[in-house]
Amino acid sequence: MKRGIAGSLESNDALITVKESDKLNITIKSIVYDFFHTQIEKVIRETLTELGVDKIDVVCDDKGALDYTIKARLVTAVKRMEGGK
Amino acid sequence: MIIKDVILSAEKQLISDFLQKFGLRYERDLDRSLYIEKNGAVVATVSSSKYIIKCLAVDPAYRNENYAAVLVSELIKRFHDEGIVYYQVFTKPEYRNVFKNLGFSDITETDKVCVLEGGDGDINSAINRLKLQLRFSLGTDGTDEKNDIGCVVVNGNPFTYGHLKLVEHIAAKHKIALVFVLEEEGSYFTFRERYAMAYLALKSLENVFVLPSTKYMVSCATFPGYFLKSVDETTEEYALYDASVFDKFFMPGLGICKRYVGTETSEHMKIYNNALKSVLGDRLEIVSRYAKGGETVSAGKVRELIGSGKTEEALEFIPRNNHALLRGMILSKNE
Repeated sequence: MKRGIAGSLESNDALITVKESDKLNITIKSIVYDFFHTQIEKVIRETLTELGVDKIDVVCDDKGALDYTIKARLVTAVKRMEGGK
Repeated sequence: MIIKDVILSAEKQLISDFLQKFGLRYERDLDRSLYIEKNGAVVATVSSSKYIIKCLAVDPAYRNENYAAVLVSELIKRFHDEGIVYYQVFTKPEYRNVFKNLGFSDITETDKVCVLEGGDGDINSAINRLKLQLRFSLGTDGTDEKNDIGCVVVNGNPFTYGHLKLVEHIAAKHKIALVFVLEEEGSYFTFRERYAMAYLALKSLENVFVLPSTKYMVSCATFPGYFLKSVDETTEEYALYDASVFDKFFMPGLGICKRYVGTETSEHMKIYNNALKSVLGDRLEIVSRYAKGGETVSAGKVRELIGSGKTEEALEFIPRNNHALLRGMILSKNE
């Protein structure tokens, strides 16, 4: 199964793992979950739409990352997945 | 900041000394260590053994630099590069929150150790998979109260008359007998081979079911002493942890009412049995080993015979059903 990972668990970053799936599945773990999980999910969904991916399993371990960090990590993870074995 | 790999034995010594300051030891089964250096001194380190993260320590003077997150992130990246997507952490209860904050979730803890897991998969889904397998073959998943299930965990390396007698004993006492075959590799026979042997030997017993052990039973994560075949001060801690995982997850999850073990002779397995006894109490029964013609049967003895080319003698300890299969396996190993 193809997988991709990007980011880190350091402050202001997020560790994003993606793997192939037959449906869209987004899991969010965050230190600021109560405040921002809807925003994080929105960024993830928008980024996936931009990438043209609609079936994927995304796990986001957020450590207070800003929107564009999450976007960048997600794009990298998806590209790594697609380029990977 | 540079993260360094421990390669030289001088570095190993350095890390070992550093760990000692925190009451940690450089464990025998580590296969990778990373560290961060400041002004020529180690300030943070982490190690791993297969998919298990261990020996994380950060110099108190640098605690606010979040080196723990840096090192664990690097380790997770390395894991992914190698195709390891599930990982566990073995730590002391007081560091539990460090890993909770890094996105790991609890499995269980004893007085001295705390184990968490992260990545793809968790213990509850592993138990659910077993339940599904059971439901598939039994029409029930063991959560029925009237079910009367006994179980045993075997390596079966190879499966002998000793194993067979023990399983027959359980099958006679309970409505259903479950036989868990160790999933961990590292034995003379591979998991697939051992699973096939157990399956074939027990096929004729209608109320016996063979299942994989998952990585939560006597694995390199829960009881590495089994694979190292020796004892040190951590052996008992691991054994207690392994027993408590079994008690907290497998017994209620699968509706198991009793676990059986054979009497043991080696030191590390005696410790293991004692730990099981102290956790499970009456729900553990220790059965004495089957003796064939006055000689107790052990898989170790059989392996010795195979190793010295005495296949025919070895086969005397193997259930008849398995002779052809075992002969074939030995041949293919000698090629």
